[in-house]
Formats: sequence, C-alpha cells, structure tokens
Amino acid sequence: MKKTFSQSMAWLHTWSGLIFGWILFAIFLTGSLSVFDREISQWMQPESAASQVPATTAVDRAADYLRNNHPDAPSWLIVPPSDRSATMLAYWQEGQEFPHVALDPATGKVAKRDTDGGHFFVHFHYQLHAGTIGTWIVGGVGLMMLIGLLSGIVIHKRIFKDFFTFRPRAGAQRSWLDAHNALGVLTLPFLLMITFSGLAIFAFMYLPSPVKLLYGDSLEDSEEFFHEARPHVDLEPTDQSAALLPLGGFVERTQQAFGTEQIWYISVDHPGDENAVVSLEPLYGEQLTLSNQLIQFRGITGELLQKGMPFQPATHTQRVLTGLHFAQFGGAVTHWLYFISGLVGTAMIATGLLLFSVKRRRQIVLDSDVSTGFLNVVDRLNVAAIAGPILACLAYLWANRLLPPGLAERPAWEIGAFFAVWALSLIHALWRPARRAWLEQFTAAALLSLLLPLLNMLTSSQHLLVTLPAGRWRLAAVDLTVLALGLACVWLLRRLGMERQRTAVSGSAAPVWELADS
Amino acid sequence: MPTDSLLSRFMHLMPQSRHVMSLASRIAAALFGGYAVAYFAAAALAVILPLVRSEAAVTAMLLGLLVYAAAVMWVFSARSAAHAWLVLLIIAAVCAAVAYLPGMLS
Amino acid sequence: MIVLMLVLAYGGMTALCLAMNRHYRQVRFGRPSLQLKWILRLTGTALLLVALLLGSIGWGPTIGPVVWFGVLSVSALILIFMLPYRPRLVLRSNLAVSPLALLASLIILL
Repeated sequence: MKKTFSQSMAWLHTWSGLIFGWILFAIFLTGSLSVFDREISQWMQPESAASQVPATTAVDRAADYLRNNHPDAPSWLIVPPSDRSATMLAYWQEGQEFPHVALDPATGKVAKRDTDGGHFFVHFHYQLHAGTIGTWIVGGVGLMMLIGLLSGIVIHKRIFKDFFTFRPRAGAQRSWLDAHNALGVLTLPFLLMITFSGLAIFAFMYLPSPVKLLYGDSLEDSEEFFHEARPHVDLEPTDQSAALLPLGGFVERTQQAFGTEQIWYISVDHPGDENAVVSLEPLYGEQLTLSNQLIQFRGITGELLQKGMPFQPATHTQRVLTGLHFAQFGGAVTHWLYFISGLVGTAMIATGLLLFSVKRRRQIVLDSDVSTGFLNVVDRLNVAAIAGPILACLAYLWANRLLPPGLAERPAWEIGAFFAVWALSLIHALWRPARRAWLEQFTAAALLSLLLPLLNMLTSSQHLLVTLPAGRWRLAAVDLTVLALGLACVWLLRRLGMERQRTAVSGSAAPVWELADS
Repeated sequence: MPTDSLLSRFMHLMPQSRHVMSLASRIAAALFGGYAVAYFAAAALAVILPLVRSEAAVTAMLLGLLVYAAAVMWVFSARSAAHAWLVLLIIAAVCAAVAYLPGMLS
Repeated sequence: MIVLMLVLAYGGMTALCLAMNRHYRQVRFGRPSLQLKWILRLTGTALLLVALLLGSIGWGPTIGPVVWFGVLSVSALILIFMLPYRPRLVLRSNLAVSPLALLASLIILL
C-alpha cells in the first residue's frame, strides 16, 4: 500500500480510526458507564431506593411475579437485590429473547418508575440496541479497535522515550498528538484487555467454525459444546407439571455452600415442570474467573445436582477474559479504576478524531489539494460522534426524571429520548458551522449535567441533600459524577473562549481547530 | 479544444478511479478475505490442536480472532490488492483442506 | 490501601520520569548525572514494586495485579498532566507524601 510497513499502518490507523472512531466513542462511553450499571439503575428508581429486603424474600416475590405473568416461559432468571441495587430484575424467555422488568422487592410488583436503568448502557455497548446484528457490528468495530491499538503501537515508535510527554503549548497538532499518545499508551494494557476480552465473550458467535467442525451444525450440537466446556446439568422437560419449591430456600443453601451473602443470579429451567432445574451463581467478588461456582438443584425435590465447576485451561482462560471484561470483582476500587480507564480510552478516541481534522486543516494551508468539503463533513460528524453520545446519555437520565412514573412503555420512551437527542445532535451539527456546533453542544451538555442534580431534588427524595448526609455514596456518586462532567464541560468551554479572545487580539486567522488546543 | 480538455480531464480521472478500485478491493480483501482466513484457520487449529475437543474449540476461536486482526493489518501492507487476495485465498484454502479433508476422506 | 498504592505509584512514576533528561529539565536546571539517573530508576522501580506488593496483599494475587495496572495508569496520567502546568508541584507533592506512604506500607508489609 505505502512504501514501508509502518507507513501502511499509519494510513490504516488514520482512516480506520476515523471511520470506526465515530461509533467507538459511543461504545466506550456507554461501556464505561456499564461499570456502574446497578448504581445508575438505582438512581433511576429513587422510589425503590430505600427498600431493604433480604435476597431470600425478594427472590420469592420475583418468582410469584413470573409465575403470575409468564407461567409458560421455558426459563426464568432473577437478579436479586444486592448492596449495589435495591431493585431486582426478572427475566423470562420468549424464543431466543430474554425480556425483563425491574421489580420492587418490597412489593414484588413492577418498580414504580419502570426503566431499563443502567442496563440500557450495558446492552447498547455490545448491541447498539439492534439485537444480533448489533452484536456483529460491535464485533467488527471491536476488531478494528484491536487493529487500531496494534497499528498505533507500530507507528508510535517512541513509546518509552515519549512515555511522559505532553506539550500543551507546542501547537495544536503536536499537543493533540501528545494527548492522544499519552492517553493511549498509559492505558494500553487496559485497552488491549478490554477490547480483546470483549471479542472473546462472543468468540463462539463470531467464529463458529471450530464448533461446527468438531460438534456439528445444529443448535443441539452447539449446546453439547457448551456442555463439555462448562459442565452443567440440563434436564429434558417431562410435561408432568409439579410445584416448584420456594426459591428463597435455594438462595439460602447457596449462601451457605459458598459462604457468601451476595447472589449474582438464580435461574429456573422449565419452571412448572417435574424436571425443573434451579441454577445459581454467587457474586464473584474475590476472583476473576466467572461461572466456576455454579450450583444446581432439582426445583421440585431440592436435590443437589452439581456444585462448583472446575474448568480446563482454555475454557478457564476464556472465563477469566470474560471476568476481566465484566469487572464484577474487587468492589468499588476496581469499579472506579475501570470507569476511569474506560473514560481515558473514550477520550483517547476523541483526541484521535480531532487530530484527524487538525492535521488536515494544517495541510490545507500548505497544500490546496486537500478537500475542504470533506473536512467540513468530518468536523460535523466529529461533533455528532463526540458531543452526541454525551448529550444522549444525559437526555436518558433527564427523561427518567421528567416522564411520568406510571407511563405505559416507559423504558421505550427513555431509550427514545436517548436516540432522539443523538439524532438532534447530528442535525444540529450538520446545520451549524462546526465551531458553533462544538460550543453550543458543549454548552448544552454543561447545562444538562449541572442542572441534573437540581432536577433530581425537585423530582425525587433521593437527592444530594439526602444521600450525602446519610452517607449513601453509591447514589450520591451518580449525582456527583454528573456534576463533575458538567464542570469538565465548563472548563472546556472556558478554554475555547479564552483561545478565541487571544486570537482576536493577535488578529491571526488561525484555523478554528487550533482554538481547541488546551 | 473542448474535447481535448474533456479528454485530459478524463485521463486525469483514470488513475484516480483505478486507485479507488484498488482501495475498494483491498478493503473487501481485509473484510471478507480476512474473515475467510480466520474462519478456516480456526477450523484447522481445532483439528490440529492435541486437546480435548471442547478445549481445542475454545483455543481455536480465541486464536482465530487474533488471526483476523493480523490478516487485516497484513492486507493493508501488502504490495497490491491482487497480491493480498491471492495470498489470503491460498492460506484460507490450505487451512480449509487441513480442517475438512480428513473428515471427507474417512 | 488504594490511596497508598496511588501515592507510591505516583512517586515511582515521577522518579522514572525524572531519570529522563527532557523531563528533568522541566523540574530543575541542568541534566541529571548518570549516577542520579540510576538512583532514580531504581527508586522508581522499587516504589512500583512495593505498590504491586500492596495490591497483592489487599486484593489477592489475581485481582491485585489488575488493580495495580489501573493504579499505574491513573498515577501516570496525573503526573503527565501536572508536568507541563505545575512542574514545581510535582516535586513538592512527592517529597511531601512519598516518605509517609513508604513508611505506612513498611508497617503494613512487616
């Protein structure tokens, strides 16, 4: 393609970074938010925030709800309340899909403010709200992220020499490049890990050839593969109906078996059948590997079917990768480190996108061959790809507080607000000059984030004035993080304003992107 | 004169469009050729690896992802798009033969 | 524990950073002598290793290193963005807290 390998990689890095960066920014942003999915869910359901029901009782109430509403579903799954979330989630199977609702453990009814909560961010970051097709798209984009990281390493050349280098006053292109390099290099282990482990979770779907070859093409064949890789008990339904034992008892037995309070989930296969199977996993707070502590019972008799599950090396590796990606371990410290690293990755993608146009704006001055029309499109899409998802996430939280609690199809409305605002951001970016679009959209983001805690005070009883004195940090942290985002936006806007004044005084007609120089 | 300028314009466009075609071909090679290599390489690995079959399958899938990434990077550094296609297809064919021929013969 | 790890990693990163001519100049005049460079490199590596040790004690041998990697990233980022804006503060903040952190971690380790 180009003369040397490193030049080819530079070309690949630049162009694939631009095209895929537009969507990667949103994926990394929502992925970082996913770390705190339960805290966000909790924040989005303030009415249920105070209820404190033990998991055993809560699970029984969720089972009642599922029995009344979805008695014929082939399987149920319940995520009980934990110290991170007072509400619980109830899933039921419909074909290949698993719809769910959030339940209030105190009443066993659908939580007053029905919402997908932080779960939406989890789903969006691997499906883009587009089902299986979305998973394939994210897979392709994730692969390009991996390639972006690897080609970035190839073209950097001076990783160790420039390890600590950041020169904010060395001109726009230099300082954006420094920032891009610094953010990328310092979180490189994290970025490689999170990208590859994300792909590894769905490896079975992306590359089905080994299983097709060794096991066969049918659904049963792939089930057989999962069975061998992760031994667990599957019983065929008998069509003899029988009454399921109370699920709370299984929770208690699991807590005793593993000496832990927290249960990750409890699932029931063929709930109304004689061969019902109840499976549970504890929350893995102290290990990376996921799913090696599966415990299974017969749902009707309570007989223990299986406890624990030793993995073989390769499967173990895959489960460790999954565990590293899910970040269920280690508590608040690891969650914050993941969140910060994720946001740094997000910022690295944003600086890369900006760098593309900064670099080419300069070339326009030197060489008239570069097309201004194309760069204008890039600049506008950059606004929609960077400011857009930030605004959309904020709109999602605003919609949660503004929509009436009893609204039918409430989760769909909230998600609608997310996409509507993102679309508005795109339209606005296309309509306004790019510089104005940056200013206006970041002003909007600053306002939305600074006012959100106020809105929270007006619309719920779980606001900062309550949560801070009570020391309820998990809830307060949501408000405080949004406030911090608002302050960051204000800081960015002030810098933009300061730079504009400076160029106005000196009278130089520097390209607007240089103004973004921080 | 007008025809001349039109012709020269056309001539000017020619290498441009050939460039675009070659680039499109390269992207297609990375996307589809790369996937074919990863798909069949994973299948071949699954057969070759001396492991329990579930273990071989998992290892092959994880390595297959890396093969895909490497293939895409290589395509963009290859001499020409045609060369990239040729090499990818040969590797994919060899891997497919390693993976599927033993089953077909026995 | 996490604060301790952050401080140690920050100190370690600063030491490694100052062992490079370019960054040494950002904080003080002149260039470091070869001897000083090696002292800085060894101190830096040692501090990072102590942080790793603390992480493994606090979170166990599997999760500890994961936490350690995160701490390294965060502390180096703080350092990088402080160097051009507040170069003096880098040195002062390190001199102020690193000895305390080292002492505290010694107590924990022993």
